[in-house]
Amino acid sequence: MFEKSMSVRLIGLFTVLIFAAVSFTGCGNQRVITDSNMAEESRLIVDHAGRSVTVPVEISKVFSISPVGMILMYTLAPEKLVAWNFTIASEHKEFILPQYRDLPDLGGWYANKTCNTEELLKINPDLFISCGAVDKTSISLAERIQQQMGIPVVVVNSELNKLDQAYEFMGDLLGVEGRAGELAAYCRSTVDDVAAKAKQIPGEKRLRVYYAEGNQGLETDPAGSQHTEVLDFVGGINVADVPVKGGMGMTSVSLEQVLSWNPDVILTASMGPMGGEEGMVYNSITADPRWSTIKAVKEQRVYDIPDKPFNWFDRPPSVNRIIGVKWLANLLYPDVYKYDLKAEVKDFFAKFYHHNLSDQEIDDLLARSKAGVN
Amino acid sequence: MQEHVHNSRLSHKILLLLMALTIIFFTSFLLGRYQVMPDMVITILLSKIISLPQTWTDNMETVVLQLRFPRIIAALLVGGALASSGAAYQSLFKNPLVSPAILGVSAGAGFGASLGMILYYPWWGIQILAFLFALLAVAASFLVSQIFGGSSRNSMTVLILGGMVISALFQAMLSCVKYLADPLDTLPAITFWLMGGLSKVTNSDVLFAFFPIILSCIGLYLIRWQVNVLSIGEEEAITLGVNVNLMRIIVVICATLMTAAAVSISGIIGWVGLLIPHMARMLVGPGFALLLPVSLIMGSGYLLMVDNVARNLTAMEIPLGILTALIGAPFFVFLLSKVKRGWT
Repeated sequence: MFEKSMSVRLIGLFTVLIFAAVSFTGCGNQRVITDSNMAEESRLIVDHAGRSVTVPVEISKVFSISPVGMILMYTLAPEKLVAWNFTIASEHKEFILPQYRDLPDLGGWYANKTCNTEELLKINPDLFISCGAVDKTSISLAERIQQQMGIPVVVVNSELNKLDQAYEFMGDLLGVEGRAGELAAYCRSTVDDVAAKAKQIPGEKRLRVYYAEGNQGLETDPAGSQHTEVLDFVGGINVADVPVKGGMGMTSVSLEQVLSWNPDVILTASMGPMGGEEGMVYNSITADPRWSTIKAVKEQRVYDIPDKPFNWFDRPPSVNRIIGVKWLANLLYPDVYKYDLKAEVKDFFAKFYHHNLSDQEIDDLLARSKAGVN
Repeated sequence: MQEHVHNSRLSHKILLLLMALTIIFFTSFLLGRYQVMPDMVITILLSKIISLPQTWTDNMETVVLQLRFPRIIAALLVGGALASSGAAYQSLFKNPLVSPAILGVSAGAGFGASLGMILYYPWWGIQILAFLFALLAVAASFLVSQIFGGSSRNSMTVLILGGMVISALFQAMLSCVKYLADPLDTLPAITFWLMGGLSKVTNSDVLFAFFPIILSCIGLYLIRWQVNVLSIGEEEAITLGVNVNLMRIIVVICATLMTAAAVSISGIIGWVGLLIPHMARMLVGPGFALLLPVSLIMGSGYLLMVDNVARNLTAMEIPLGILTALIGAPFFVFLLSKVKRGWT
């Protein structure tokens, strides 16, 4: 008797709870909808993944879910960027405008990072952007974040030769068409110029290049990877014949394998923008007797990839690759490309980072990254 | 008479194993992604003993002496260290499921190495941190057992429990470090380290690991009879006048030193310390006096063969820890199906 009444009561309790839960979420949804209807006008746009997304007409707060978009946003409209995706080391911060140096680091949805979602909701961005290669993973991630956070997420294709479109798309979205047009034009002319000249390099003149990553330079990424797009683009031959890895990339290889590839040029990746000793991999490779018999080391063609304010080549594969393309093109094939690199770098920093480089700063930037230094 | 036949059969087995190891050892020098002709390899190796005119390129010499040599020696050392410390622990704890990692040595090393990486230490600094934290983790486990162990019979259980707790603690701290690491470059480096591999080993790394491993091996060999008696039973050991506590401490110290040294140059390589002692036991029985040298030989040869696969199969390095687990797990099941004799 007691048992029965107990179970009846329990069922009753559950029913009430379920109704309460349903009606509560129902209310919640409704409230959000009316809120957005009343507070701000919205419009329907189609992003680079072909997704239709409803976004506010006036967008003043943008959060990028990963560093690639963060850099795109900073160069385009820093006043609308609400947070960094990582803590920027002090020597990199010098190139960031003072008023944005102390934006919070809220992490993001990349690598195995997670985002402090409540902290982010407190800021309540109007829009999230997800930049990078557009594939199934990035699309489903965008959908998931949009559902979880209730904030529109747009996917932007920021492959090297699509950067002009990325800027134009974002410019239209944020209402900064003028600046976006200027940056897009710069990207387009760089990409077109390099692509045209790369075709002139005869096959036998093409240099074989090894991209040395990891703290010993024994990790790499092959041609076709989004991490080596710059190298492919300027007409270098990537020696690594390993499978392309998606996502964060990086494949381990042995030094014996590198010796057998015997590259003409080695590009060393500096440790990331979060810190680390400057030129650590570069110094270890140029000093290590075991590397000394490799053609690139013998002929002093080991170059450290410039990484300020963010890397020019990869990690993150950002808009800085635009100046990276000019740097590497000139470095590998000076006769073909004939850029005045110092002027180009100055121009790029002024346009994209609002920073007028001094000659000293340029020399520091390129200290280990120009021909005939090691 | 029967005893004599048994003994000679055993020494035949050991002789065969040694010959197999020697063959694997020399063949390994001929294998590699950089093509060096066998006669060239032999000439280069000989040139270190007798003076020969240089008929080889500098590259070849680098490959054979600076890359293959340390890697081969490291594989021997690491494989031997993991297998013999596994054998020692299995005998000490009278438990076939015990591996060298039981007292937290790998977890400690993993934490130490990753800590070194997020602090952007040079490679040797990372190794030393790995080594020190490996020792620290085991010391902590041991301390727990000494403080809360109570009676001597209980203390072995408490020691294992302490190892589990300390491992879990260091794993948690490792996760913490991974979380703080730069996901763009440091995190992949930590991940690679945790999967184990010998591709970055240099001659100085080998030198670093050589003495702890060899000295610990000698230490274990010197107390082989006492460990043997201990593995039969504690009371028997006490009756025979063995200082049980002291022997335990020596085994733990030796096994820890050699595993820590191995792990600090190779990263975390599982299964060798669990699998090889079982294979050795099938071959020569549970007596520790034979189990130890046979585990050492088989562990060295096994890891050397696996590393040859890791460095030769493709242009990319296959992490050793993945291979040993892929080979080890199914092979272990096979061993289980074969096993007829007792565990100890």
